[in-house]
Amino acid sequence: MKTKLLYIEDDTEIATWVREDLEERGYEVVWLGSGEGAAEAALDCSLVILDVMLPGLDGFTVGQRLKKEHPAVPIVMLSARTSIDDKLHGLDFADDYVTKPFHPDELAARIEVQLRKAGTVVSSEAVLTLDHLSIYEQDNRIVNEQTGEEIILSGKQFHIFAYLLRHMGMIRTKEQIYEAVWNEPYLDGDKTLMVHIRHLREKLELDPANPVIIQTVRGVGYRVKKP
Amino acid sequence: MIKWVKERKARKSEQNRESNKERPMRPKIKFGRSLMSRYMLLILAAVLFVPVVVPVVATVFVVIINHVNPVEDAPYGDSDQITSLWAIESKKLDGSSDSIINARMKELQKKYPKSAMYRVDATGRTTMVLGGEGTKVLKSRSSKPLDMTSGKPEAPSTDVVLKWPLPTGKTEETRIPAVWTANYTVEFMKKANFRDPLTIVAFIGGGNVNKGQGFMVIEIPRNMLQKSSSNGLLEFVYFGAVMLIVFVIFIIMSVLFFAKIRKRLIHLQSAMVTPSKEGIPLPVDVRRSDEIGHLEESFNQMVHQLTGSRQREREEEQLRKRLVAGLSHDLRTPLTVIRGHMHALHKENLSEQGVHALSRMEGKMQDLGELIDNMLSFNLLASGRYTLKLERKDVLRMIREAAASWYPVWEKEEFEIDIDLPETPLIWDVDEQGLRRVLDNLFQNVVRHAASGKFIRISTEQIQGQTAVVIEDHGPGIQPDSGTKGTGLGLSIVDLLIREMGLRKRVDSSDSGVRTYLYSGKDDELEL
Repeated sequence: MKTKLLYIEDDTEIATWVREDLEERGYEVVWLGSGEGAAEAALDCSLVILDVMLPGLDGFTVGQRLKKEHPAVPIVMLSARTSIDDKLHGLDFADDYVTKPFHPDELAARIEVQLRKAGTVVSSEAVLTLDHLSIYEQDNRIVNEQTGEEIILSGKQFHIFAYLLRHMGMIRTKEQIYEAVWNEPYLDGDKTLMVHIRHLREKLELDPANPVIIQTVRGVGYRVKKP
Repeated sequence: MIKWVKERKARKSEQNRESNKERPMRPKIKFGRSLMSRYMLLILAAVLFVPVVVPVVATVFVVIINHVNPVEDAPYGDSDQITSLWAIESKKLDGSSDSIINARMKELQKKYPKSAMYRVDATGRTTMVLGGEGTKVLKSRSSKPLDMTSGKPEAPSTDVVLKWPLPTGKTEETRIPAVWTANYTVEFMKKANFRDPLTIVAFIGGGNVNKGQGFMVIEIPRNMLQKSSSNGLLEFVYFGAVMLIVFVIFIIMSVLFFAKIRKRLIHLQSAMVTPSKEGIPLPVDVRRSDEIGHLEESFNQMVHQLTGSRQREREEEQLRKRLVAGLSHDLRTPLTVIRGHMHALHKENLSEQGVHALSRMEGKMQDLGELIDNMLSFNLLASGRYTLKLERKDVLRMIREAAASWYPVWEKEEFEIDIDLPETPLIWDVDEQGLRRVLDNLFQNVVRHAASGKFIRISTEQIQGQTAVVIEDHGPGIQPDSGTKGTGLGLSIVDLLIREMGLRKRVDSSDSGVRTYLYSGKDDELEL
């Protein structure tokens, strides 16, 4: 079954091509011209893409209502309003804020991130292949294709790897990783994360001395490169 | 006293200056209501008080003295009374025989028992001496006192000496010669005025006019008369005290007058320096319509004008903000549409040239979007509508995060990336969004203007005891004319934000690259 997205946008031209683009990427898109009926439409949708400038109720109000009624459905704001105030206002309830004009790839990537976060299966790629690794996101399984063995990660190791996978292609600083995984503020000079990443690499990498899956970006942080 | 006068003058001139200052602004002050007139009134009252107070005090004093000093103290009245009495008595005796004169003198002596009297006839012979109580009457050539108490009239043939005991303990002698020579008379008269006892001489029958019937003398101790000389000191003290009180009252009034003015001025001043939440002082209550009252009114007018202009400013600000936001939105919407169509074009079968043109267009589209963004930010920043929330943050962490998001861009441009930041945090007071914007714009600039250098280094350096963040590229340096590359809006935003956050920026530009230093403007920003 295709993942269903609710797209609320009043500009027909933009709506048309965004819809087409998203449908090409394998989503089913429900398009609404205003906030009216949004709550009902969102019922069986996995994600909501919401414009701010809407006839009648504005996107902020619609978004807040949607979040109240369907807290589990992620909302991605898609707006030409770019001021910090608007962004902060939007991020009060929304999960992401994309400003127009946007690249369709960017929107698709952000939607993907939100869907992954929400636990919705990304329809297209059930199996992710990273070099010698096959990652089955659905059942949290990692298989080393060279040996055919499954790689068992400890809780924290898995969390770190999952976090980096969620932000695939992006660099995350050690503070960001630590705070996302441990859920507490990073303390300066804390080596815990480094130790965990070393162990993680020992399990994942073919040659832990020259890691290719989890790259170190000197002076910045770590990333998992897109295949 | 002189000091006080000077003070008063100084205050007065101060007052004048104040009123002068205000006059050009408000020429219409009713004189009756002005501080000047009130002050003049005060001065006038003080000046007029002197001629009024002196006689009043004197009068009051005399009245009091006359009541306080009972008659017993001065049983014989004052010297003027005695003098005139003596003159009248002498006139009455005009042409009288010796016996009548003697009898009358004896009568008078009974009336004034403490006085001594004697008479000298026309030939200059002392015909009678009547010694009073308390006086010793001595014949000069015999120590045997004359028996004068019997009251028997006597015509002494020898000189007689009257001895007066004085209150000081000394005795005063009056030498009454048997025969008055011209020399002695003159000597006697010369002393007569200043002596104690009071010595009064009157010509018999004529008072002060010689009728050729001789003269009669009365001597009365001065303590029997009014103590005019000793009372003078007391009077002076009283008078001084009253004057002092008057002056003290005046000084107090004067001080109160100025204390009030001062209080009002201070009130006004404190109203000026305590701004309301709008940053404009609140209007003050105008209670009196004098100079300070007018000053307060002017102040209130100024406050109202300020408030009005602030209000207008805010409205304009709001309008501008809305306008820019609307404009930005309206610009972005068609851009989004163009972007969409370009994306659709991508899917078509294009020649290599077409693909190249499309990617160029996409790049420009990106720039246009950023330009619109910057325009809005700059507009808000320049109008002070961008509220910064300064917090103590680890700047290095934020730089790492910003660099992380720019990393793919740099990689795409095939940059040599050298990020060398220390592990220890660098704490500055910054606004997170603001600093992020600064970094984004700076990194953007590197990509846009220094892509040819293919190099970026982010590191820290010590400058003047402070840790500075250095962003270095190997581009061609800052060109005097950046031409087609943009309006420099991004850098204007950087400068504005840096200033707003109290940071400092220094740029070293050369042919071989640009080094941008960021450091805290505060001294206490050493590493913690």
